[in-house]
Amino acid sequence: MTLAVVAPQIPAMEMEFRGETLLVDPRGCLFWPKESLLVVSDLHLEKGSSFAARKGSFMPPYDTHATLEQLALCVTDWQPKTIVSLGDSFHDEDATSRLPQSCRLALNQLMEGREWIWISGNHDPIPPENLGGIFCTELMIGPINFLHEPLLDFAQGEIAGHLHPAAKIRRRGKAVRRRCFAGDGKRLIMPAFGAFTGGLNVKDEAFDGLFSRTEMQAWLLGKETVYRINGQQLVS
Amino acid sequence: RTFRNCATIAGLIERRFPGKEKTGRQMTVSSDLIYDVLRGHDPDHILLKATRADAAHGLLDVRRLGDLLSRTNERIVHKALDQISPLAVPVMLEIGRESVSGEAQEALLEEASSELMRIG
Repeated sequence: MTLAVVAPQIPAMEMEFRGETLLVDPRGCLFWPKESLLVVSDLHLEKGSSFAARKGSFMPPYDTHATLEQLALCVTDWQPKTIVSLGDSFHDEDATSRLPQSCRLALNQLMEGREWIWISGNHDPIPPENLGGIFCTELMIGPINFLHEPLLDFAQGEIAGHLHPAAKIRRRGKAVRRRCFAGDGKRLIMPAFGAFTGGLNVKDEAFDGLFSRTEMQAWLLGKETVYRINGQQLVS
Repeated sequence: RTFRNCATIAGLIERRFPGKEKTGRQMTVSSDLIYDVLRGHDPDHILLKATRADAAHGLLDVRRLGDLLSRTNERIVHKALDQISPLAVPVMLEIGRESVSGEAQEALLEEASSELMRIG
């Protein structure tokens, strides 16, 4: 296991997946050096404003700014030629219309000079309006298949999102819970990147049947590094 | 945690009780996430002001401590004791009761991940 240092403070962890070397960034994104591809999942842009619109619950509507800021940092560090947003990029179908102009500009800036691929999710099944990029339901590059929701019956090499995985350990009487990547070598599920997204424990029944019990590992997002922890050490 | 109390009183988030079923596809947002975003984007938000005011009184009454220090006027006599003084008992009882999360979490994660190395 080697750590590639991206910026002086951000070490990413190497991960072998289907014969490819991927880099796990503690900020929640994944970089594929061979393809110069950056993957993020479940951005849930405009989730804050969606709560205000639908539930009358007035979340501070800065989540989109925060998410895009974090994404910009990752893009600056990795300089990818292609960016894949793995679904649920927008919290609901009207989200694009609620996008503040500054965010729209920021997004356009991120898209400039590179390929941007939107994968459709359950929250955003139709393409975002006037935003550019390519829209599809699934993307296959070499041995890896990118899609939003993991399939119970699948061909190997799937990288999916949707489930917002988080893992919890208990040591010395204290519990620590973090968002994580979860995988078993055949399938990898990405953490949610969005500022207001939480995490669902990988021990939850939503994850049943997705991973090999013995091979499953979690890559927990630490403050400045990634922690790879065996599935068997995780608690619910 | 103080922010969570303020946010609950303000009606921004709801208390979740164990055993209460999630109705339909109830979406919730963690107060930690809101706190982080607010601090970065609107540090003068009223909920943050309230949080700071509460925190100043919560674990340690900063104002009273400040008043005490001004009253002593630098006349503090420090005496190292061999045994715990009876006056210190209330503080000793507090040790371990309040936990402050921070770097310790990263240390625990580091421990757990190095165990992986030993086994596999």
